[in-house]
Amino acid sequence: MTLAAETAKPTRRPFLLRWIDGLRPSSIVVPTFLVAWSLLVLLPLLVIVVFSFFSVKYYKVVYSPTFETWESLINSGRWLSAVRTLRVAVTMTVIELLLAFPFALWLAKGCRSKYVKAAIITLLTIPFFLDASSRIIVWRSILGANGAVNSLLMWLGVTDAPIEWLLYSEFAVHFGLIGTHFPTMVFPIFLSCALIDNDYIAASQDLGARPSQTLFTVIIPLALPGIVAGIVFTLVPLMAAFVEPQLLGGGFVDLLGNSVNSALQQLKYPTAAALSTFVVALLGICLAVLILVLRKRADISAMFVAMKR
Amino acid sequence: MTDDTTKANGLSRRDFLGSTLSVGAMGLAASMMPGMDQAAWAASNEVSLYGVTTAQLKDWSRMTDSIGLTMNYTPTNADIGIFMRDVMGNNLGATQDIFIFDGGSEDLLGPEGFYAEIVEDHPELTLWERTPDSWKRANFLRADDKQFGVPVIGNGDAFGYFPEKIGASPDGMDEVPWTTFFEGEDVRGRVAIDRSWLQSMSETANFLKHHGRLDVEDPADLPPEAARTVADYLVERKRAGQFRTIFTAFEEQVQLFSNREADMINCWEPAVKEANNALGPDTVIYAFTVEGYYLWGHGAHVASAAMERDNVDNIYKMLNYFLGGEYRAYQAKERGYAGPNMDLGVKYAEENGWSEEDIAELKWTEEKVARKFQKPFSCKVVPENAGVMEEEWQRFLNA
Amino acid sequence: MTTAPPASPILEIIDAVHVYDDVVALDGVSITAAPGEFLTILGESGSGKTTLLRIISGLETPYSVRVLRLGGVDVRDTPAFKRNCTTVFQNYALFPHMSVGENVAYGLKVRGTPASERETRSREALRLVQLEDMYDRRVHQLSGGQRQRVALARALVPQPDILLLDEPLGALDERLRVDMQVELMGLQKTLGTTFVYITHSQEEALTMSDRILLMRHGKIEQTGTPTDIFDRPVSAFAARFMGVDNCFEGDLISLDGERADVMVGGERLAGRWSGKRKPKAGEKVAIGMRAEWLTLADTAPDRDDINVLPCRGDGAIYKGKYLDRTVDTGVAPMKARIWDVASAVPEPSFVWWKKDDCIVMNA
Repeated sequence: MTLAAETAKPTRRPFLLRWIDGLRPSSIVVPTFLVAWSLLVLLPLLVIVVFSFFSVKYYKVVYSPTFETWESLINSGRWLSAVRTLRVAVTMTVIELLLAFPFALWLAKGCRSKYVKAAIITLLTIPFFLDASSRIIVWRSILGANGAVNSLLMWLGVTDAPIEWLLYSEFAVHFGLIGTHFPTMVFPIFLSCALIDNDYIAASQDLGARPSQTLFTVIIPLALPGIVAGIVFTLVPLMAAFVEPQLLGGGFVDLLGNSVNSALQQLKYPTAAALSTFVVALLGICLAVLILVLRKRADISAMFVAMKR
Repeated sequence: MTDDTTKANGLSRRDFLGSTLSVGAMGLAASMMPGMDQAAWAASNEVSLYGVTTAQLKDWSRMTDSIGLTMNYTPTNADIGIFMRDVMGNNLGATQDIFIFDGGSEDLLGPEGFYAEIVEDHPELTLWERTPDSWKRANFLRADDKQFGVPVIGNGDAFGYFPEKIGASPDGMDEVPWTTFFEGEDVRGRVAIDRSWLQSMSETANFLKHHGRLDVEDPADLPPEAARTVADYLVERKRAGQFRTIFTAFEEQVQLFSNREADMINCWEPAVKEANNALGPDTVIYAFTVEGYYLWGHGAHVASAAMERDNVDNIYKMLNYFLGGEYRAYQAKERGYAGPNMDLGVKYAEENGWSEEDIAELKWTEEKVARKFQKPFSCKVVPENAGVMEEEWQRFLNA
Repeated sequence: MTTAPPASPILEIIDAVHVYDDVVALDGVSITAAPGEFLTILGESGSGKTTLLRIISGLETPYSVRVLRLGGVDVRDTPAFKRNCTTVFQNYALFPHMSVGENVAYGLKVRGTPASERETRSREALRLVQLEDMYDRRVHQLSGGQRQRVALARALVPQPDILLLDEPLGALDERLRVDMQVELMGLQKTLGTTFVYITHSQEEALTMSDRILLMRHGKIEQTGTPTDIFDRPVSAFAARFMGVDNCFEGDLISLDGERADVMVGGERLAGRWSGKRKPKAGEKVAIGMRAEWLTLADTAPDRDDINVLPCRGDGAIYKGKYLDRTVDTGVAPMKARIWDVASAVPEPSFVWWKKDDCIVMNA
């Protein structure tokens, strides 16, 4: 792009506007993005991988390559926390999906009142504003041995002794995670459902499809981009869940975030790096599987083309 | 001294690089240091202090009235990793005069040249001489036979319990064995244990050592085999269902007691105070134990770099203040922590017209801490085997 | 041709009422359709014609309806997917995530028809709309006209009793529209399916329908065969909709059988009564005449079967095949259509038309 030629043009507009107009996605934006992305994402990732092959002696990193950190990761069972985290994250993502999809669909298509819809969307954003600890800590007094739930159950005579597994258990952690990660699943699905033309749904019914057939053959395929986005936006933060396992798991549900934190508190960067590497690898495998499964079922890229209409 | 400083600088630069890389890699935000600037220490009467929140007075203006110094206190939490990173990696000595942290950090930061040796005969340190050795010569203030810190506050940590649950005397004067904590049938499934391995592993090791089940020199610094034995024991107790929960935060300790979710917790003493505010006086007792305590003390350390600056006299004046009656009396009143020269605290209270009750409380604090300090075991915040211990602790958590 | 529905209608609605957010969309509408009939619902946008269609298909549940029968069966509580009628949507609503073939086969797939039969019948339907080569295409690769045909094929494949078409030609350009009109009519004759066709174009309605239902503000204004409605609009609204260019209000002087005398702007005009409710003398009525029936002349012919008004030339619009001339009469400006431009009077002094070509209706 020659600036001189640009400036010589009779109509003079602010430089920035002309510059923006002159941008071509293929020639500038894409390479810039790729370079920035590799610098911002890949480089730190690489540093992390490299770091995992160092070790720590008395709070100081020893910069000589060793498998020590990886060995200790296995010997201490620390890698289990990564696997456990993945298990919890995947389970929670499935639970959230099952909860969020009907809700999002109702919100997008079933809820007639604009005011109710706006109110619900506002309510859904509340978890983003509240501090996680203060939100979660309430559950402790509700789920505890002497908490509201147990008191009620005992008063009703449903049980004689308090149900211990309500708190400080995997159940409690899952329960606590539901609220936190619900919005990230609902919003993308809500958006993609809202974008589905009502006529598609009408056409499906009209052609004789039962509601379940309409759901599985029209609504879900068309909402798939939102569902995939919801899964990614929910699964990934779930891998970093920290507060809920700490506050509701009672230390019995040791997840990745807690394990990394513990390592960092001792300045064990290589351990944290090895854990992170392990998790990134696990996540990569998960997403690859997701993509492979979806590719078999439907062509996502074609769907985005189709959605333009 | 010059030699030390060079060493510190050389090391800090190299480590700065390492830690910056790590920080970048981990995506950790560098800790923010509000109100910190190069000119801060130059102000004639101001002393800059970076330390744990527990050492703070609620109102430092009293100190200004008494000795004419102003306090510029930057609080940090009790996270040794962050503290180390700040002192070593971020070279805080350039701006801070005094560091206050759990005694033990001098094991690493003293010999590495970040802390200056205490000048015991400094003219401003008038109270040093009269300070009892049990405080000033404590392990957690010294390294390599050198004095790197001045005692500030301290206590012996054990556990809190509901006396009626284990049939103990409600006056709280019984010595309760750690055996009850780890193996007591009465409290099976009702024990909460601290997630801090530093505290919990050391306490377990001390208990095992006391009963001849573990051969280790320092229960607070466990070499690999000892760490494994301790972790094995804890895993065994965890599987036996001894523990209700592994807690993390101070408020959790309070909540566990006040909800009666746990019957025995190796908590901090202030948690018992808080819980009793809700449950009634002496409902929960902070234990005297058979096997010993996790004895800790905060040390005030002088930054090596500060010794090159022109406010050394003020720094020592402030160190002396920490040994004096006013600080002692208010620390005990506000937090229930003891410290060196408790008698000066009592004297200060009497002279300043404190109530009988408050004075009695001060005396009891002194008596209590003295009793605890008769037992042998004490803590170490930077054990040499920290890496191994942390790793073994993960095994316990993941079991 | 008769306006009366046959004995066993395939579609029967009596007194349908529907309301959207306090707006009355249908106000007591009753219609019937005979098997194999091409019924057109004609009306402006907002007249309630789409609502009516959606009530037939079951996509909308009416606020109230006395009778709603499809093929003699009460379907008031039958959901859309169980009704044997399909719709060609205005924007086609082809599923974007399916190929053309999958779209067409959809109605069979959801009914559990075996795959092989599905394909045969879908290809057959595509052949019917001349798109047999497009079976494997993606929807977004098709042109507007092709999409329209796919939508048609998709709706026909399940062999519905009634095919509902919601302004299906609205988005097509002029020439394609004319072709499609012919094609649709041919298809309807071939299949013998009842078509209920929605349009706002009187030309489409007149060309294609067996019967037209003219709607206005959620009510039926007039029902009848195209000729009926074209020749005998019952109201000024119907007349204007049917392209009666000159339409004025006047006072009825007398009504004697078919013959009505009306006073308009001080002139006495005579015409044939085509309104619904017979008015009394002195009531307001509408009088209308098509532009093509008006003759412009220098002198007024001396006949008593015509209305004559003095006029002055005003403006002219050349339309290619004809010339639209506006003249100013004492009554109102009027439009006359002149086909033979060459022999047209340049400065007319009179406009006249036959009394039989002048219609008098309810205002």
